[in-house]
Amino acid sequence: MEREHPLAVMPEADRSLPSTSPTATAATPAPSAPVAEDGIAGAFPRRPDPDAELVERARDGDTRAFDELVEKYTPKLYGLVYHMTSNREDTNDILQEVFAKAYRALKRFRGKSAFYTWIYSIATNMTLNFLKKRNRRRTMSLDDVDLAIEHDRDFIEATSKSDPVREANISELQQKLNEAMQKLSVDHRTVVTMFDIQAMPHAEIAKILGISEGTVRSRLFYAHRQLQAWLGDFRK
Amino acid sequence: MPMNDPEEAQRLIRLKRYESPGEAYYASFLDEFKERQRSEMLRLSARDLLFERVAMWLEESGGAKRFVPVGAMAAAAVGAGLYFATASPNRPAPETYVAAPVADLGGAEIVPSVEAAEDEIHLQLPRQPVHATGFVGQPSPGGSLVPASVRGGLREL
Repeated sequence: MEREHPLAVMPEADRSLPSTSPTATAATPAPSAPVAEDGIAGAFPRRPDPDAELVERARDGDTRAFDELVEKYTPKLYGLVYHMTSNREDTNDILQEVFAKAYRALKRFRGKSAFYTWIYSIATNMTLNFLKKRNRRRTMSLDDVDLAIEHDRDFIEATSKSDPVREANISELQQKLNEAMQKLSVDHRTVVTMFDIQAMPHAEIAKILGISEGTVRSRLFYAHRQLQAWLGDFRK
Repeated sequence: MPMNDPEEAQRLIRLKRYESPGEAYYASFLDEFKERQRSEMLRLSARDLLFERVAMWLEESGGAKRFVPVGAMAAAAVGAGLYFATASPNRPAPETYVAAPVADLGGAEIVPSVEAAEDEIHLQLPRQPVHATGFVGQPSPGGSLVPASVRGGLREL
């Protein structure tokens, strides 16, 4: 099964990754792009929900339609939950609960937002609740790293410099990245997961988390500074 | 070498997207989901389901927020009711109440005070027959001259 990148379900205009500096908005005012009905800025009209038909069928009792939604969103939501928990067993449990909850609540889904946004909100809230209850940091239980990483431009660039990263093996790098992620506060980890790893636009993150875009940018700014300090130690 | 550019950290963090549970996991996820759903339907009671749905409704629709203005209005109404209820003794008494002569004390029309009212209270015990023995009260049943309330104490002696 070919997994779909999270960006694949987003409108084309959303895929740009603007600066994360909190002052970026003030310094470089955005052009007067029309704002879509769902609040996402960009020169595009509000597109119909690509999942509308599946959702409608699922609401009418077609369980196969819901199965299709599960298959479509499992990889995306897995990434969201996994990068926030750094534990594959917890991720599986939370993800099962997310889809079960979505299935029960599907009748009340009014389509005011895209199904994508709606189920992402459920997953985010459930993960945040889980992390609040998880008092002590649990032992990390990490997934395998896809060997395609060796061909990634960022990986090659990072490891081609004359520093120990080049000598460090992939699993060591993975351990370090996950430790750095877990050091972040839950709020900062959430936006880093959504923006940096899942490449979601600020507006979509803001909508899912119920915060302003400015807050998203601010959290990203401070999270990146912290990550810079922690991962900088790795490169000494 | 310290990392000077936050974007370097971002580039490293982005590499986390290569962490993956593998295709086999995604292939079996749906089956596990269906299995769990079936067992959950058997385990959850109707009350649990109702509770969860109400909680979800409140969470999603902001239902709790809707009740805030209603609750505030109700609280204000109760508060206002209590205020007017407690404020009523300070209102001027009805004219007829003040003007009505309660007691004629040297021609002054006043409302009798509590002390004055106490003075007028006289405890009057009902007239009871006096027996030849000097006891006052009802003769005890059985013809005894000792009152019934005292008789038990005498027996103990």
